[in-house]
Amino acid sequence: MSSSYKVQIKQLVHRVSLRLKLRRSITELGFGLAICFFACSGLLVLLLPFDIDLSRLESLGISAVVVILLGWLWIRAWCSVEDKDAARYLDTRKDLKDEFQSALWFIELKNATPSEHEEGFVNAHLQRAAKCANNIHVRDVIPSSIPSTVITSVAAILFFLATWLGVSDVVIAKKNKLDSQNIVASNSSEIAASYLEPMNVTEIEEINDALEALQNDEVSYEAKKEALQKARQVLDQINMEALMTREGLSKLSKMLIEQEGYESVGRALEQGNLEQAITLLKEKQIELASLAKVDEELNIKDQQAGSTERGRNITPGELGDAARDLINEVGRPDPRNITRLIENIEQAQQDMESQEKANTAASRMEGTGERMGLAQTGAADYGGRSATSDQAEAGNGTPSPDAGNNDMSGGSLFRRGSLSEDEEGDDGSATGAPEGHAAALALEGRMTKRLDAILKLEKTKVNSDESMEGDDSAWEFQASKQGRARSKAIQGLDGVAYDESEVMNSEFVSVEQKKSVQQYFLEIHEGNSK
Amino acid sequence: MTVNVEQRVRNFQDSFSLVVDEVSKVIVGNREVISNVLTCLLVRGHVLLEGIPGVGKTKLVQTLSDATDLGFSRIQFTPDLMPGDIIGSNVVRETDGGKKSFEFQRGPIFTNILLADEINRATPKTQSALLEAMQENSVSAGGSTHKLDQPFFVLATQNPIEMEGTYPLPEAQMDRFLYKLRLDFPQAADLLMIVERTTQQDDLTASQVLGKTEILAMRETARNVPVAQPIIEYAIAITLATHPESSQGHELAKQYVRFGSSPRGVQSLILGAKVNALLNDRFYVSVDDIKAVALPALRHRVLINFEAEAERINPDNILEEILRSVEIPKV
Repeated sequence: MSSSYKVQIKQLVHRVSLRLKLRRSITELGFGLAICFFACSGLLVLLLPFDIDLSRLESLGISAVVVILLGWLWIRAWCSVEDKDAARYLDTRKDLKDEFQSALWFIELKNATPSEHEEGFVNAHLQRAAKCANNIHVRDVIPSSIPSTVITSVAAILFFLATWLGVSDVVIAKKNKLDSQNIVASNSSEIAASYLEPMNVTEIEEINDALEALQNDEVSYEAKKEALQKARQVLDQINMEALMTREGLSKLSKMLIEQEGYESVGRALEQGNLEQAITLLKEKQIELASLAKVDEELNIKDQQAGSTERGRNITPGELGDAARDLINEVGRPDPRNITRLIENIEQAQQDMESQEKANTAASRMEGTGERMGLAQTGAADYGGRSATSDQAEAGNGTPSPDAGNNDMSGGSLFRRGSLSEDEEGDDGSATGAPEGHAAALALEGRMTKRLDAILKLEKTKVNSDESMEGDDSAWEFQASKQGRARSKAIQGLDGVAYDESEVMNSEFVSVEQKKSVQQYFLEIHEGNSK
Repeated sequence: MTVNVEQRVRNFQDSFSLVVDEVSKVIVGNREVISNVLTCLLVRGHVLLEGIPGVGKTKLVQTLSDATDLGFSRIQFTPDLMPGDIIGSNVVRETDGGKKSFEFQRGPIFTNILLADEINRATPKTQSALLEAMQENSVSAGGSTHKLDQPFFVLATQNPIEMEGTYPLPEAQMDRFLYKLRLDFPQAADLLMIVERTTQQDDLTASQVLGKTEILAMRETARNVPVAQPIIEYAIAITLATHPESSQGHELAKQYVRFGSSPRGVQSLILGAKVNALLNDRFYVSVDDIKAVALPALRHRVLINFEAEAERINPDNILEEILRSVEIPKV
């Protein structure tokens, strides 16, 4: 047998074998890729309703499994092709009736050599096969075409990307669902109502309960008094939070005015127009979100991590720092920070709406209480926190913490209220009389204490018959006392002069200080309750 | 050497074509049958031709003998035919001096081409008289063995066994035939040609185109074609698939076959495939060659059972299914 024929045949078969291995490996790899990416797409879709967030380690694990699987497929496909298969493929493609298969078998014949008679035929066969091999181009046998599985795998990858982007959109949409509804929905009041914090609703209900108790003739005097006292404590808390919210909004507005691109938002906040500020921020957010959609660095995990839980009750003290992430950001702002800011402003808006409702209920409550002789100062004392009052009505130059009033210079009112029980005589009241304590202004917890004292004193006076009105009936006496106390309180407020050190400037009060004051009031309330 | 082989193969093909063409001048159609008959002649095999009366079985054999330079005898098998009528017998011969002695009188079997016409009309005993001659190429009579002249080639014809007055051939006898060929009833066009050729004044006769020496050379050429072992294994797998009791037996064989092919079946497959390869200008045997000769080589070796007969399933159906199902080997 001529060795040159063998070499030619073997070379051709080997080249075909290599090409077959490559083609089969690519085909298998494409198939594997398609399966993996379709599976990952399915996984993404399946995980969506469960809000399962894959960690980096889990993602790496899945990637490693996919890579190992693909590697195994590649090796398996590569090793599955032998020279025999290549020869067979050649014969099939060229319709050679097992010519190369037989030739290869005769070449690899080791133990048994062909008989003397057969040798001539074998040589002739190999010679003819070698001649045929010279005329065969491997590219003709295995054309360089893209296997269908590769196309399928590309489709799978595109499908995966589309799914991934779609899932990302869904995650963003889920996060901004309520925001979008706010923009689109016409019935914004219902949505706003749904935003009410459960705590505020409870507090308003407490005030309403007190109001009902006051209007109920069957409720005892002591019970009415106690209900009124509780309601006032609640009102204290709401007003304190509203004040801190406004301080935060003021600080936020100044911060945003100085920030390029957010001046309009800052000015809207400064003017107390929170709705406009939110609308402007949402426009900004939509604009940035459309840019961020093509940003591949933005992944689902980060988006979910960046979102703020809707029901989270941020403290009013944090409100001023709400735009910190946005302002400190380098380059294009992240829409998620805007989302966070919008949520914070919305929460502030809810706080103030709650306060407004609470004050409305409180106004009614105090009116009722006054008619029933439970209030010591009347509506004028609560003018500072009346739902409809404003700075002018407060009488002491203190701005109302009502919604829309962003002038936070009226912190002095609460500074006065923060006097301890021991300092009662130095509370700034010009009257010096027990009635003068009735002008204890907006600090309900403190005033509640004074109310008790007033009622006690008045009752004592009635009992000792030292009244200036002589034998007037109790209600007439009380009415005259009440009116006199009111006039004195107004006079006292007009004539009061505070030391500069006693006045709290909200612009320079730190969050910690505000919290400590708030805590102090709470402790007072708790002490009263006890 | 290579040139020599190629020349031999070319000569083989030319001679083969010559004979087939010459026979086809007389026999209309059935070119494949003619080719298969000649194949059997070239691989030392024998042929059993089956067909209804009048389709040209005897004429084919006569024409083949005319086309070749071979001796020809014809035996019309009848029920009263005796073995001695075929083989020959010892007769008493008296010399001029009055001395008497037994002398073997050769029967018609001592020829190159033996036409055993309507072999299934003779009794099995008579049919079996051909066994030794077909397998051993020799005849034993009167205590002595007589070698037959080569090439010795038996062409037996038979009518379908369901016809009246026939005796089925014994299995051993059937197995001696390399091929069993069927002559189908000619198509209309062929019939027209048959009528035209046979109703003229002068009957067409085939000319002699192939001598005995050439036939022997062709036999040697055919035998020398190499076969890769996987091809032989493929032929074996086909043969085993016909066996109902074999683990490699095909489902149809297990259901419808009483006895599968004998080892002679594999030999027939390989020998026939060798000639087929040469005729297709190949120096090696391929899977296609095996497939091409599988039906004529195995159909008479697969004995179907009653169930198959009841369901009108013939061996060809089973073999075709086996050929489809047996895995083609990686050479």
